[in-house]
Amino acid sequence: MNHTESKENFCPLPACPVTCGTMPSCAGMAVPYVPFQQRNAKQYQQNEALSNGTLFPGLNLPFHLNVPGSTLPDGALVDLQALEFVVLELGLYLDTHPEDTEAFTLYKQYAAIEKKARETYESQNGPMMKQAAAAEERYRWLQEPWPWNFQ
Amino acid sequence: MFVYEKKLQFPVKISTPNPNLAAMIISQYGGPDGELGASMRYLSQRYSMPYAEAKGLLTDIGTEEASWPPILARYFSSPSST
Repeated sequence: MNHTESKENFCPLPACPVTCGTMPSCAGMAVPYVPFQQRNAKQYQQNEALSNGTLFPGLNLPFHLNVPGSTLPDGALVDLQALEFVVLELGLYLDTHPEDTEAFTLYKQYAAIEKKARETYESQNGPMMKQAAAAEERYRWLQEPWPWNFQ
Repeated sequence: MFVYEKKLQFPVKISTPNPNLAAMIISQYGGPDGELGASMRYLSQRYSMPYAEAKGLLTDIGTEEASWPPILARYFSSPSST
């Protein structure tokens, strides 16, 4: 083995004589690690969460591309979708952090806000679930728009 | 077990219909790498999952994934009259 080879090929492990190739037999094994999501993780505001596809900036990993979040259209439906997304995300977080009382309190607060927003939306735009259709004076479930009708 | 909501999970606004893009997106719908398969895999794996946290997570993620095909379908369903 020639130790006078260029620096780029020099094995960083001093005891290793192999200086060429991609994987010397004496190379240290890779040590992967998965950091656990900690409590009190920083959170996005709800519309920002929906447009980025996650509630937590720490989980916003757009791979090697620097992709900005989607531009959301305006409207009551999008606001409701954003609230529901936060409830969904907090729910997933609580699945793996069930003892985090602070997150559970936040989950309850958002769930209450979402419930109210949903009722307001349904009273103006018609039922979004069959159960809500049962609470109305006439049967409005078949009324447009269906989800694929929104422009 | 499942309840249908008459709305999408994420807003989709089609400004310019694009059949070529739609043909690509439809491959994410069904098939081995589609969202339907992903959703059903999570919802099937949970039956043999021994840990409560992961049972909950597989259930919730599988359910959430099930709301993606309707979002994708928005890209290749024919435009509505409304």
